[in-house]
Amino acid sequence: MTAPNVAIVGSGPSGFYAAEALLEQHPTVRVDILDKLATPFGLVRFGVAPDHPKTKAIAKAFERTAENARVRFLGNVEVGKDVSIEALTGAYSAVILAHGAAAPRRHPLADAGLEGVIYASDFTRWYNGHPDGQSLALPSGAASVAIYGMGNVSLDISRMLMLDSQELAATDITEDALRALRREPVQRVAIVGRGSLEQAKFSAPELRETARIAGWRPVIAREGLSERDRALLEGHVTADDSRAQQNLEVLKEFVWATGQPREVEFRFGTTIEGVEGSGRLSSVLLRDNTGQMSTEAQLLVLSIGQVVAPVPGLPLDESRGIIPNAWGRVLSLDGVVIEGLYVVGWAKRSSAGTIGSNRSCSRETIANLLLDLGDDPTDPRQRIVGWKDLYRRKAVDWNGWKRIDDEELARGRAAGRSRVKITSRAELLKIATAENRRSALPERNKKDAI
Amino acid sequence: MTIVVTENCHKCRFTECVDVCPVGCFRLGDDMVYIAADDCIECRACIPVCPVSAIYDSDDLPPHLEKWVGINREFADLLPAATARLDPLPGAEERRQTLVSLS
Repeated sequence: MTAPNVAIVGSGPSGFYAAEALLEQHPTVRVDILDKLATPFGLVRFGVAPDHPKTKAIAKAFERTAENARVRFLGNVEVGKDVSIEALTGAYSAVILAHGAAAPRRHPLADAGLEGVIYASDFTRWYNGHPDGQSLALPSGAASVAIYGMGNVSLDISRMLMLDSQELAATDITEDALRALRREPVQRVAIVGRGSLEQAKFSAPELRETARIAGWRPVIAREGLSERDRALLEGHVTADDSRAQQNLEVLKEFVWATGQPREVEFRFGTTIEGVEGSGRLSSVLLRDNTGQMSTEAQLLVLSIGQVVAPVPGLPLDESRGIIPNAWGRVLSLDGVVIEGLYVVGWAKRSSAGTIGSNRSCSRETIANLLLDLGDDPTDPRQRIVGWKDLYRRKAVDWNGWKRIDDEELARGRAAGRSRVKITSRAELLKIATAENRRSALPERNKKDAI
Repeated sequence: MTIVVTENCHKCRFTECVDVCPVGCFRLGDDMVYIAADDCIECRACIPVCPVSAIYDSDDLPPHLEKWVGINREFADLLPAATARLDPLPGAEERRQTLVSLS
């Protein structure tokens, strides 16, 4: 009889909160956190914008969990490729899917094949140094940029385009992105959304940050506003919910758009109907309540949310872009609970909410998992063995990540930057395994559980 | 910018904030909780959940509450972490109703 073991697929916030809840609520459970990359923390590393170091400090809380003796980090192990879901569910008491929503929600505007039409995650992965996202090339001479979608990711992208390169240089933005943004200073940014002012999903502090960037004027397009939007801006009525009202207080300080350079324009109630250009984007076609018009743009960033990337052997609710589930218990497409399989984070509830939203989300799933596991602190089921070889051959353990971390911080210190991210998989692996890997398994303080 | 707990928490200590904090930055005093600024990532998840509106971003702090920035800093260093939600202090609900009627 051995202690139950749980595999968590993905080491972003939802995965780490799941691990934290398991450790708190079960006396003996052992936890393996798998990630397809050699580096942990998911969107804390590849999503949170470089100019938000305070938010990235959340990683300190996750480090405490990772360094618990009952936890192992197994980086560079890709589920669905290096190891199948079936093999995982056979080897662990429970498997928790925490792999997020890694694929952009597709939009037909991207299908025209024009250079200069990209998804937000292409852009965020690029400036955040994701190993799979370094091939992006900003179109040269992108003076006007349109961002489609009105959430905090759109604001992150706007800041990266608008901030002075001196300010960006101190952050952990990749050197490629820094050079490109310095070479191609943007003159106009338009944040375009179909919804009304109250439907915009910004949070007010982020909205204020974009509004206060030196050298830029925050403006609102008159076009596209509804009667109610105007009444809200003029203070005749108040918004229905507090988030909208807080956004409104920021937006009230904006002036009307004039089309001059160095304006960041918020354009509500507007659909982007088409893209124009030969080979590369030159303008976008907008439609609002006053009709259709064409406006110049050399770069269009589609910031309309993320969906779960398909994994062989996993059910997928394609319309919602999530793994079908009931309070974290994974369901087949027929709605039947799949034993031993659980889901947390964006894969469970779609791409919305702040990092902290994952805490209660993961706790809900873990409560159900522990209920299913029962009171017995041991797991009576026979476990398939034969994994050690994979882990020994391929996995990057926590010490491996710490070597990467130390190296990146050292390069940062040398360059007067907070961190210099390493973006090549080969180099990451080389650094992670720099010390002779004589020790058989990635350590979980001595004994392994598989 | 810092997030701080202010006087409305005193003798209430509802601890909804502890429940939503993603980094465990609350510190537990006998009469109220405080925020350890070094651990706080300024996500603001705690601000809207406080039943007595005791938590502020220091940028939005009314002048008469400004002293709380220093008080949080001072006490956070001395106190243990609040790890889980607790029952409010006795009389908290009555105090909350008074505070709400005053606002």
